[in-house]
Amino acid sequence: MLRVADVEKRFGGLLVLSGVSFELAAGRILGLIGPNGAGKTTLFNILTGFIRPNAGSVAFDGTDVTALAPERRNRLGIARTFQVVKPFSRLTVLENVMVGAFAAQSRAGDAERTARAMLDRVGLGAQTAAGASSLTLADRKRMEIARCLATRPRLLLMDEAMCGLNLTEMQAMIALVRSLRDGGLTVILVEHIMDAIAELADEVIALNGGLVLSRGTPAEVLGDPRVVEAYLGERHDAAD
Amino acid sequence: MSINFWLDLLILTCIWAGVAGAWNLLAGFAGQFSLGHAAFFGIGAYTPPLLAQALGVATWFGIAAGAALAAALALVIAGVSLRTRWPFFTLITIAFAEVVRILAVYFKGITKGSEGLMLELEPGFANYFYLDKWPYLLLAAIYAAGVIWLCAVIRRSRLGFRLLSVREDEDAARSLGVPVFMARANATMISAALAAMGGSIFGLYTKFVDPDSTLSFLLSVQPALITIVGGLGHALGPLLGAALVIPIEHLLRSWFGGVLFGLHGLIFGLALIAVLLVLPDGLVGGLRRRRGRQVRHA
Amino acid sequence: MLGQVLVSGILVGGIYALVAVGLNIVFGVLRIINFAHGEYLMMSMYGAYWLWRMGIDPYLAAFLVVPAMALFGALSERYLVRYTLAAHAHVKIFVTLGLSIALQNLALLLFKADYLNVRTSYQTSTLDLAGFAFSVPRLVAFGALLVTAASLYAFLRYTDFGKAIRATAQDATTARLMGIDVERVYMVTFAIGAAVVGVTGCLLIPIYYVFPTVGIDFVVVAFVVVVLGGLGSIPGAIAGGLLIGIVEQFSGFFVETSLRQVVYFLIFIAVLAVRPAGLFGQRGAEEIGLK
Repeated sequence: MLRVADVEKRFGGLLVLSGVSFELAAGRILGLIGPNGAGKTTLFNILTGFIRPNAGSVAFDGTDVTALAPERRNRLGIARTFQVVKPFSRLTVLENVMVGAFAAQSRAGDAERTARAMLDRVGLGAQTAAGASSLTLADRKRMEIARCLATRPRLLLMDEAMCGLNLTEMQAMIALVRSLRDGGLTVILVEHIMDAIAELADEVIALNGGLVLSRGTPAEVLGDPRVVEAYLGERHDAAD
Repeated sequence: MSINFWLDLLILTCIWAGVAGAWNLLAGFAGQFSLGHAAFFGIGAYTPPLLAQALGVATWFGIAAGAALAAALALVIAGVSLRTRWPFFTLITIAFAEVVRILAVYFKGITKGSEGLMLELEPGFANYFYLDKWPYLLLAAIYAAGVIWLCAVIRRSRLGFRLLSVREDEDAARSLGVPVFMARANATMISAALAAMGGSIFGLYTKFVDPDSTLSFLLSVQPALITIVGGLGHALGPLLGAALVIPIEHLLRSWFGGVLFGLHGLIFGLALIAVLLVLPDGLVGGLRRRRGRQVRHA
Repeated sequence: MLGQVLVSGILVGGIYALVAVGLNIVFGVLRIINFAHGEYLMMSMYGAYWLWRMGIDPYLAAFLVVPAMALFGALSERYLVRYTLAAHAHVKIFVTLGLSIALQNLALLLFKADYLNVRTSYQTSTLDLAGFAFSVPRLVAFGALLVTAASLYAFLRYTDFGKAIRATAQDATTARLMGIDVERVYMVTFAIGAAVVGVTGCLLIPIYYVFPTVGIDFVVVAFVVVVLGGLGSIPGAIAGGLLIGIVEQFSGFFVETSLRQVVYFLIFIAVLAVRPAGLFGQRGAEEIGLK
């Protein structure tokens, strides 16, 4: 469903990604991990269209989307959440999700029905009339997911979906992502919390220094000594 | 005071409620603060008499042509400001409006320059030319109601949601498939066309069109002031704002205009500052907050 | 002939650059466009004019006008602009616009719409250098531009307070965490912006008339200059000012005087369409202060 080939990105003289290639089959959950500065966010932004690579290509369902803007990719079926949640603050929860629904529907009545259904799906059905800025962080993340779902995506990219959640909220989020996958959605998770990756991901890619360091099942990658070293090295740096 | 004084007040209030509504569509919904709406207003005011002179066509045709011309200019503005963000959009609109004003003064052969154009048309419905004030009140009221109705409809439509989402967070909007440029361009064009219609009605009513009264920078500030007083982003804000601002302005001008030149503008400026600092959501926002408080207390 | 046009373009551009420097430093640090900047110029010109009526030469008047304008700038930041910094974009734009309208009309109320000018012994004298005629007051203004810009640049670069200002311009939150009194930086920056325009007013009054809306003519050019030169950059503002001065003089030479403004507005629009952050500006710089 998704094919990434030889993606390279430089910011000025700094090589952030180099020769990144992978394929992802439909209906699977891919975990993208790596220490800070590994290039995860850059890769994420290249996949969603917010950054263009200097070289290489991204194809979605056989269509080359490398040069497509985020709004065009969304119309092909790619949706994303944000690391720092980006609610439309002065709109209600329902209106936030209706913005997503309007991507595929043009009538307000249809969009509202879709939005309500998606809010029920993520468990926010009771808070449709609340202002988006009044929600807790966990609920804002749910709202973002509902907003994405309303655009009828086939691939959902989630940027640090677990970050900032407490244990209960994280369990609920994991259950939600799993149910989305079971409903046929393909998911890419950029994640720092390894427990979530271990529980959710069908396969994992570890990045370090802009290169694919390791790839395989969660157990294989998380047990890979190079991956452990990359993370330990980071912890070592942080302790300095 | 005579009935004509009150009619005059009502007509101007309606016209400005409509123009402010047009401005609000762009500023309040899309978050794009234009300070160049005088250009659209002026294009609307000049087009019907100029077309009537040149081709002898009816006023209605001129109004439509003025709206189309303003929308075309708006498309250019939207295209130019495509990659810029606040505050450049505001500066670009100022620049365009100044260019239009200077050109209107310069091409004396067509516009009579700063001397201005007197409207002398065949009386009747085709030209909407009457000596009485009542027909103009009717037209202005229909215009104001139409603009406000349209804004309320747009607010609940796909375009409205797209504009609000772009205003709140452009990146999030794009990730949800919102075509940012299209949405902004549409809003700019609709806003421009509506403002031009207001200008047309203003020109028809005053029967005189010159750069000072239809293209000056203060005319770009006027709809902004009205909307901010009434409530930015609320469909009814411009109506409330106009109902407050225009009568006060009118009275100030008729009391002090001849004697204390500048007092009216001084109060205009100070009022703008006061409203922004005390009631940044305008009257509508203030009323809502008060109602909210009462509910919470009860 | 064209050389002479170039010379007068550079000299006119010097004035534009001075107005733009004040506007730009305020934008760079506080991220607001001060629409009342032109009215600060108008006030300075009236100040210099009235001091001249009392027998003080405009250039000497600068020693009174500049501190007075600095004070006015500081006060307008402290009691007006400060309340808008955390507010929505529309509040930021329209509060200074309201101040601009109020000051213009206050001047109209006090001084009427008359065009006033001073008479000095040197205002029409010219200096012949290398075959070109240099107007003395314009040459003085240009010299003052260089001195003002150089001292401002040195102040920002080498003094502790100047460094605090630059730190605040880059990232106000971090600056605050580092113990910089950001509020004081804002107030001083506004005072500097107004003081620079105070200098400009005193230099301008021997060359130009003063009237209530005189600020508009200059501030509109200053916007163009700031966009050309890049927001927040002093060298950029000077380069942009000179460029606009030259373009204006040349276009005045080739097209009619009344269309001069159209020429630089079109340049302005074209620059923004092609390079949204300005000719010398960094991409993305215009967004820093937004959120």
